[in-house]
Amino acid sequence: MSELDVDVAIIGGGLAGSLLARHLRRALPDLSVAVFERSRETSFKVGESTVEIASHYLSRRLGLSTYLYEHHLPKNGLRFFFDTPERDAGLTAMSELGSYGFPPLPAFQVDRARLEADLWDMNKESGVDMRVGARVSEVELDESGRAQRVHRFKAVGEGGETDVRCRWVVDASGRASVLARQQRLRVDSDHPIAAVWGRFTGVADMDDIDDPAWNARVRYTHRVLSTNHFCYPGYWIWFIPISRGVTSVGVVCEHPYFTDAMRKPEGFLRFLNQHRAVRDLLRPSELMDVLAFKQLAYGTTRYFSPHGWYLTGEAAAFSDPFYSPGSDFIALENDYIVDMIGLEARGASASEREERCATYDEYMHYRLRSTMLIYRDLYPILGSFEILSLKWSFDIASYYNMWGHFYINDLHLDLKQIRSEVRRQAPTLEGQEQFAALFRKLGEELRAQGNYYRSNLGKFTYGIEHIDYLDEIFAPRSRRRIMEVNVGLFNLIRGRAHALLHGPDSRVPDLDLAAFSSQSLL
Amino acid sequence: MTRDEIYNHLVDILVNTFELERGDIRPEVNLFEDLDLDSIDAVDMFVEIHALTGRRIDAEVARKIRTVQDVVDLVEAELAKAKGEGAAS
Repeated sequence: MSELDVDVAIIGGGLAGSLLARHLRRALPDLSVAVFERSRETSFKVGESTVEIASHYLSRRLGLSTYLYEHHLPKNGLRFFFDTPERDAGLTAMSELGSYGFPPLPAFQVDRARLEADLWDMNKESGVDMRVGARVSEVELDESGRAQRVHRFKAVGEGGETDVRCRWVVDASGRASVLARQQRLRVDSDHPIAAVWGRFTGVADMDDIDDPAWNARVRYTHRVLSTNHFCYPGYWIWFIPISRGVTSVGVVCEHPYFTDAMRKPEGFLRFLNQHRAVRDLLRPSELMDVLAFKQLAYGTTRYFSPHGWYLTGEAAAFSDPFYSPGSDFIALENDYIVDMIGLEARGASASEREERCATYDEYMHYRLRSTMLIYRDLYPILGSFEILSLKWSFDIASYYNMWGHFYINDLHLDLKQIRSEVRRQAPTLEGQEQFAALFRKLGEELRAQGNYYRSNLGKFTYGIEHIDYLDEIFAPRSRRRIMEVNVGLFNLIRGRAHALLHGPDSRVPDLDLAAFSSQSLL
Repeated sequence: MTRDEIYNHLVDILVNTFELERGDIRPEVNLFEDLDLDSIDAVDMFVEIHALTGRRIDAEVARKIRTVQDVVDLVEAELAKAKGEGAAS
């Protein structure tokens, strides 16, 4: 048996763990870092699409911007297509919600296997002790509170056993959740969705479609570089390009739409081919592999411990891939972990560290709760262009104004700012619930009237044309200004929802901010 | 409570509830424009004022509040009313 003493041990060398190792080497170069990865090589993984927070983390915090442009694909925002009840619309006939210009901050479509392999190399080069093919089981946590804390575990690999001692240990083992399971931190989710996905080669390029008006309406930007969603009541299908001629295609559905047959290539293809536009794109392609998860979403009772152990990425929690939030969570968690390790390494007092740990942990819980409310019980409305366009306006405003602004301006590392956000979580979540109820009601009513699909053909919207604050996004702004903008949008969205429910001439009086979280919006 | 006591108590509430800096709070500053409070914060503030005075603040009156001094005046008036009612009963 060999022995290893290291400052920070990271269990799992996937995206979360590899990014954390890089982050630690850059921010705290005096600390030694070891990564224990079960696999011997990186493999196809889902989660190719980054959004603004994650991109900001990758490019600015981790210095990967030129690397990303060189080896991965720039992302042309999100895009959503809508279909008939018979699912027989051709792609160019479908109503479309999507950009006609690149978003204000760049985002990327990453080839996960390649990114992780490259990160392994970069990390090794920067002095990270990278142990592949190493399986970690029981971690003996030191929660005694003594200054010279030592967590211990055994890593078993081909070369035998290593007895590892470390001051900090991070669970980045993904769904295996080594530490989270051992500490019984897992929380089941009340959001029952499954996912099946595969890699395809030779998928038809939608930018090759010869339809001048269709190409002109996105100002000739590249739809193929978007995260393309085909939306149906109860499920959606994604198309994401991941470089080198490969496309990731997957379906995320409420449990009633999921069958075990979909886990196999034939069943997966049979499901996809029921949709004409999807079938047309896949016709020339070949399926390389299929993976599936029956239960995608889950939570955790704790993200960070003041005793120097932490969870990051899917070891902690997962919500829903619809808006690609997975790597945003990694960005936040890794920022917090690096900050807490740095604080302790610099000799901060136990009370200061405990306070920071508790505040960060609370913010993560808030973030997950809020993210779940974007999706929970809302799958029935996904298939309607009119309703999803409204919901999108709400969701994009929340993302840019609240979460994006907070992260990109580094307010998420300022205790005072976090406390202020957390203090307001009850009204914020309540406001989200009220909007969710409004969107659900819209779905039920339009369905009952036979109008759910009425705008699903021939329409196009960017979904942000009524947003008059584009120039301000991510610039330093006061909360009052942000809330002013939000209230304007909330009233606009509520007004449009009422127009859909009660006719174009219906009017509702404007509400102030507090009213959005204290009364029904119906 | 004297006016000074009310003012100091209010400053404590603002500092503790809204993570404000004590030095930024002066009688003439505007709660919304200078201290960046919004209507959600206002709800929290009136909960605290209710705890202090034991009286529900009329929504019309609350809407007119702008400065720290406005709140001090309001609390003083409400405390006086509460005292008057206490004496009458």
